[in-house]
Amino acid sequence: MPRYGLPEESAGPGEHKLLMLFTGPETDRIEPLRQPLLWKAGVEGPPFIVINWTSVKFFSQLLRSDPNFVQHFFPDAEVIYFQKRWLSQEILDAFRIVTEPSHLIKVWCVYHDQYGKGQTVQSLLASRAGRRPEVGIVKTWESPGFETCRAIFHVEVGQEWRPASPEGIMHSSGFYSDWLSGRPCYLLAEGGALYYLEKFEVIYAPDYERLVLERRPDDRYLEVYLRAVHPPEQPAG
Amino acid sequence: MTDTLRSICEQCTHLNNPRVDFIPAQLARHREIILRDLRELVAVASDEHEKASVMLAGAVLEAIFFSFLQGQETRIGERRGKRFTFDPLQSLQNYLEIFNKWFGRDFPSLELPDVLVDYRDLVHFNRELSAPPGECRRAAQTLLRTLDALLGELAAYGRGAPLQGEKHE
Repeated sequence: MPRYGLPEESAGPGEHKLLMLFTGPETDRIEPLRQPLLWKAGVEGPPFIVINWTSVKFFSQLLRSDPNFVQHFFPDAEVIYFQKRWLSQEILDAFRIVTEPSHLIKVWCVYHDQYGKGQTVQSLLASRAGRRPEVGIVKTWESPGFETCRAIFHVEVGQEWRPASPEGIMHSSGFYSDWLSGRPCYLLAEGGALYYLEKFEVIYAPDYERLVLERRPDDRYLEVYLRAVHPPEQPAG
Repeated sequence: MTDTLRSICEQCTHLNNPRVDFIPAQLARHREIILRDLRELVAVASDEHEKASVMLAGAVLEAIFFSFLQGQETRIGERRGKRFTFDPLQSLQNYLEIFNKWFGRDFPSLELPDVLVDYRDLVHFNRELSAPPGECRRAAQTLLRTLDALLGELAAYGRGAPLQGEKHE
């Protein structure tokens, strides 16, 4: 008896299998569709491909409620195409889609004319709601009281967070230009922490390979010195 | 006082003296449009028109990727191991992804993050409404600097790498 619309063995020997997840109409089934692999060339016969299609939401539900049922999708699975922003964290984890280093903190830049008296953590976060973080940082050192730290700059390129090119940041970013001109600039983390940008340094650090998804080809990184700033949680009075 | 768009333009040598040899000679109309839009971009940026700068810089960015990738079909095909056909109906996001995927390693000093598309998208009223104040000017500044860096790198690349349809001795 098929469960969730899917027979226990949905593809025969020699058949290719493809799982296709989409956002959009709600469904509570996984629909198998058998197609000749070479249909575009007008070939109606084998080899065949079985496309199992369902929604991101339903597949995420199954991962939580009935993980054994979907287990057969994972051995030797190859992710052909994905759009990270449409997938749940469960799906990213299940298919081992790693797009960022562990301990990455995604941040927005807050410029001197965007941060002033009366700004709270909540108002800063609200002004960035729904917007993609501009850069990421991975801490390389932190003081015992967590008030100061050093971190490597990252940028998101092709859905992956990679260490930034020092020259790229220095040439193109507004916050580096502001820092050079002595104007204060801040980084606002997704969790609400706010950091003041104290100093930049280009360093040669082959050992930072362990902290990043993909090492810089020349092992040069842009390290930033940060100091924690503590705006009020709520407006005064 | 932040950097003015005029002061950024003055520092951007490639924006002021663009070399578009990276676009194959047979795509003459592409070159013509890009050079015209660059002139207009420098003009509006020098007059501190931030929204017009975002619109034009975004348009030029897309046009540069479009023209470069169109001229590199063969090379992309060689690198991916199967034929590549340029699709002129795709988006800036798509062109940026293709450029970063197949040419990112050729330009290690160039930073073209995904967030550039968000800066360009500030041309849409709803996007700017939901952005913090001053974001349009910041986007204009970043796009100007990025375009300048991109033009500089591609000009050097155009001199060193044979382009599709062009003979190099």
